[in-house]
Amino acid sequence: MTDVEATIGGQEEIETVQDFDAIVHKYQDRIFNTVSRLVSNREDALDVTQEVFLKAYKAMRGFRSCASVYTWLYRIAVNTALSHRRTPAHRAASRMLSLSESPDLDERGARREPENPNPGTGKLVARREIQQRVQNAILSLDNELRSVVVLRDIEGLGYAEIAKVLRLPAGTVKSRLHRGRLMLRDKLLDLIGAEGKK
Amino acid sequence: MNCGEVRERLSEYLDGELAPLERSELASHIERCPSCASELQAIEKTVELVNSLPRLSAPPELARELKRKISTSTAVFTRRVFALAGAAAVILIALVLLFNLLTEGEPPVSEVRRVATGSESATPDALLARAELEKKLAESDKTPLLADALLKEEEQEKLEKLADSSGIDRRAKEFPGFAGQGTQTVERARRAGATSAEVVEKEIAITTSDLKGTLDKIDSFLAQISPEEGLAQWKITRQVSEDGAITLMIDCATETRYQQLVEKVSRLKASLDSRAPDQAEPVAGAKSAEDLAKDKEAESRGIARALKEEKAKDKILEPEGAEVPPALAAEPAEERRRAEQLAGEPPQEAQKAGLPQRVQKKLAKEGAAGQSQMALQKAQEQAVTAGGVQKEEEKEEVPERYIVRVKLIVVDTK
Repeated sequence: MTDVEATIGGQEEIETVQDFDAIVHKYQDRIFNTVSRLVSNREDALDVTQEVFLKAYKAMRGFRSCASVYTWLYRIAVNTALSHRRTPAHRAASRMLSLSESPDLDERGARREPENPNPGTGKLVARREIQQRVQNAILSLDNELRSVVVLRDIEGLGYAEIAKVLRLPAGTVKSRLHRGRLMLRDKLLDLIGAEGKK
Repeated sequence: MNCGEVRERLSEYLDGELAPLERSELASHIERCPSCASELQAIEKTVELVNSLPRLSAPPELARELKRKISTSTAVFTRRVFALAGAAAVILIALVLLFNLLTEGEPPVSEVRRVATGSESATPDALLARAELEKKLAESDKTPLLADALLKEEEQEKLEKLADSSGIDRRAKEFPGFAGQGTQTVERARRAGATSAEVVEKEIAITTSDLKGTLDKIDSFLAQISPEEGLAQWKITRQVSEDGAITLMIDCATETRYQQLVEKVSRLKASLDSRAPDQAEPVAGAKSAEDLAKDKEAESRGIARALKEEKAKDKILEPEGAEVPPALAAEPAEERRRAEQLAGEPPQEAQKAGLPQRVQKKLAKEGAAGQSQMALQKAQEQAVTAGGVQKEEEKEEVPERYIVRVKLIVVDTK
């Protein structure tokens, strides 16, 4: 919980429940998306996202935030997600999911942004398989590499922002990101080749 | 640059995180070296793959569930606080009674009752702190007004959190004009039309690592200044501002009290600034030339900032049983309107004015007599009925307000 006890005071004002509602409304998608890529199933992602906002709520009351709210929320999100222990029920659910013939991302990912409206069924299945492979590859990374890769290549944060969120020196962020990408490349080598041929 | 060095930096190159010179070096190497170029392409593809994952939106049940959990946790928290506070109150009562039994003193029954009834919403820590202050005050025959004003449980919680937070140091450093000294003084006087009250305000910012000690000092000043009436005559309100400072707004009612309090608090500030808080016990009496010079300097530094802070239109809390001049009596709309008038005045005017001539004249008139504002007003009214009053004084239907703002910037020295 050290992340929650961290300094607050600054840009966005969080004094009332209304302020907090606004914060939830503004950041829930980003946090949920990040967390979804750090944990292995939708239920865990939901649990963790709730926990993130609950922690934030407890620490925010009566305060004004310091460093930008999203840096702070991302920090709580990453720490909470990486330390999250899956419950037996969730383990069973995810086992069922992984046993299913074609992994359905809806099971994992709730509402999605509108995609290509009419892709051919075969193409759709192929793309989902690719996405599942990529997600699994990310999940197979060590925590320290995974968090940097997700913040950079999924959330699009800059190196300096990542350093702030994870409280790491900039050099460490660079090297972890590069190592993470190289490991992903090795795991996805066949996809990269296939993509390259297109 | 060899291939190894180049490959180490490919991610940075891709992300545009390299300095221009390094970037161009890498670019020219990649142009010449097919193996580094294909490595770069592979990393680029990897990033594309990761980036192609669909963005997931939070399901609607998230916000719903969150609301439910927050309301539940608040209820549980409140119940726990009630239980803890109740237990603390019982223990306190027992301790106080035991203490009184042992010392054979007269039990301060009213104080005990206060603590017990106050426990409904207070945290145990706040209760203990309040009880401690109240006990002190009771011993010296003072009303526990200041303790009340300072230790409302919510504020106490804030103060505790603020004190614990490592951010306090930074906030203090970022505080404009703080620059390690933390002293700002501003005095301003303004006049908003003939029917409105004069407001003479002085803000004194004190940097302290001993919040309670400083509050105790101020407490004792207030009691010293009006020993015959006690603390109940002071109208005090407080506010925790966004930079983490605690501001006490003390309505002095009379000019004499105002002068005395300003002097005492200024001396306290000076003593804390010279980092000898225990030796420099402020003494009532004439201000040294050095202090005056310090004040002047601080004033010129702080005035611009203080004027910016005018948006704070804090209502002065009226203590029970306190005598309130009619114009100041609880009439929020009227007071707000007046505050708006005051805030609407161009700041330059006030800056130029310092203490307006009218107030200075009045000062000279009153001298060091220390008359209360009420008495002064009565005297004026009598003079009006006797028909022997000057025209200028006829306009003064509304009495002046003398407010000392003591801003306590709590610094964590750990």
